[in-house]
Amino acid sequence: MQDVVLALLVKEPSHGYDLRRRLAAALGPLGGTLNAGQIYVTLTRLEKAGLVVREREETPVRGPRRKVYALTAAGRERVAAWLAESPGPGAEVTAVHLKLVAAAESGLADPLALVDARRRELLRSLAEAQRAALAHDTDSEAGLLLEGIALRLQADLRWLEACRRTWSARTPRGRGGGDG
Amino acid sequence: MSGERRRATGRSRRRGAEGTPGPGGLPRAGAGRRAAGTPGPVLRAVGLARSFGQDESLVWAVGGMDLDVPAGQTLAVTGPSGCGKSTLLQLLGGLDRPTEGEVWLGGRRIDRLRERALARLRRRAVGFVFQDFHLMDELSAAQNVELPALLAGASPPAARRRAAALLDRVGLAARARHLPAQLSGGQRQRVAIARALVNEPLVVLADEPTGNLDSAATHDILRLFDELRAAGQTLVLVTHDERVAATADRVVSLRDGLPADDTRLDGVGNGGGAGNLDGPGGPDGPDGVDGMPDVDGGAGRGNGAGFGLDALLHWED
Ligand SMILES: Nc1ncnc2c1ncn2[C@@H]1O[C@H](COP(=O)(O)OP(=O)(O)OP(=O)(O)O)[C@@H](O)[C@H]1O
Ligand SMILES: [Mg+2]
Repeated sequence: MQDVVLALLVKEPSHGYDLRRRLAAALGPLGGTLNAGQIYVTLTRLEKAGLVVREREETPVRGPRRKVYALTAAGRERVAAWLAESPGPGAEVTAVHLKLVAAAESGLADPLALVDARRRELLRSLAEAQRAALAHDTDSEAGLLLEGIALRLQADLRWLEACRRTWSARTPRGRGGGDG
Repeated sequence: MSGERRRATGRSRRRGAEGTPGPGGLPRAGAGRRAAGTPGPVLRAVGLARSFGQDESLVWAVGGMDLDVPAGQTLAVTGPSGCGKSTLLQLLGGLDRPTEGEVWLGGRRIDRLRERALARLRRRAVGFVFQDFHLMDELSAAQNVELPALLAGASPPAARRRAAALLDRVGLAARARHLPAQLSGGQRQRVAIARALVNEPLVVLADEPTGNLDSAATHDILRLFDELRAAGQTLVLVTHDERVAATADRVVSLRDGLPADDTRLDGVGNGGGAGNLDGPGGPDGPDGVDGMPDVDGGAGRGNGAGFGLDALLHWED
């Protein structure tokens, strides 16, 4: 979560409530339990690590004062490195999703490029799993495992196709707005 | 017969009257043809485009594609419904004519051939496999396989011999006399593949060959394709099934009639060991889709993430 929070701060400094709102929008029902307190715990850790600084306090018309956090140079470097790093073949959907959202929100990476790169990686993994599966008896234990791996990679690839459609509709290149 | 076939595909080297079967009765298509020495791809598309309708309803099903399929390669074509996969395959196999561009098969330009010549060439040089099998209902499995051989001029005994060998090869020797209605979907597709091979085509073109099959039958078909590839057969597979595409040497994804991605998979996992994900390296030659990024030098690898089976087997760390 630290990396995602950092990514949300790339474009402009922000406070915990706003970060929570943006994360909740990206996570839908999965973000239901996310509260501002958790975000502030993460922000405090990031501050200790020198990746963000507390910039100022904002006093809204109503409600408590809010601490506004900004990214440091080190924080920015870490987001860029994280975005450049592959999430690995077994990464969960949520982790990949958040990375794509973070790429778009930060403007530091093109979500479509990440989708395409991941698609190639998974296709290569699937090629290996599938070739191994063809070489094994379907009734063997190894064959059974390979079947599961291949099915899971296939599901991930299908979801990436949906990602490609959605993100290409949202990037400036795509026609048709995605801000429904 | 065989000489005629050679001529029909622009080659002069003769083989035995019925062609020499490869190991296990498979024709040594690719191997023999590679040895025959015409360099260059078996199949080539240059600026290939096909439109349907006009004015308001004009659709470019294939929007101007360059594509080379070298001998012995298995190429998978994927992409969303309506992106032009079937249209491309029909153009490559001479079942349809391009609006623009060229199709070359075995070193010969085919898109301008007269209908008769094209039909003859198709019969001898192209093997088609369709999603819904396209078998003749009233003919037995063996007769279905024999038919294109007879049409191409093989003698009845020779056609019977070839059909028997191929049915044996696809594991259906015992079903040779069955009608298609007496066979399962997977078995029908294996008959259709045997039929596609009977004239030792330069290339087999398959449109969603596993589209109507369950996973076990798909597995059988993929094993069969794998054996064909090992025997050197050039193969173009249209599929929306990622698992089928992943068995190819190369996967081209279409979007709106144009290639949107081109991933090389040859060299993946061939050593049987984990982490053997090195790409094909330089010397494979420029058979990529024009204008596509060099995938193998790009983000697809070298990120240190270990995309071999090793990495997959440690998912739950
Ligand atoms: N004979 C035809 N007349 C008019 N339009 C056609 C014809 N054949 C194809 N098209 C159009 O060309 C485009 C590509 O069709 P094609 O059948 O090649 O797609 P596909 O990728 O094979 O799709 P699917 O995965 O659904 O089989 C579509 O928009 C389709 O409507
Ligand atoms: Mg189709």
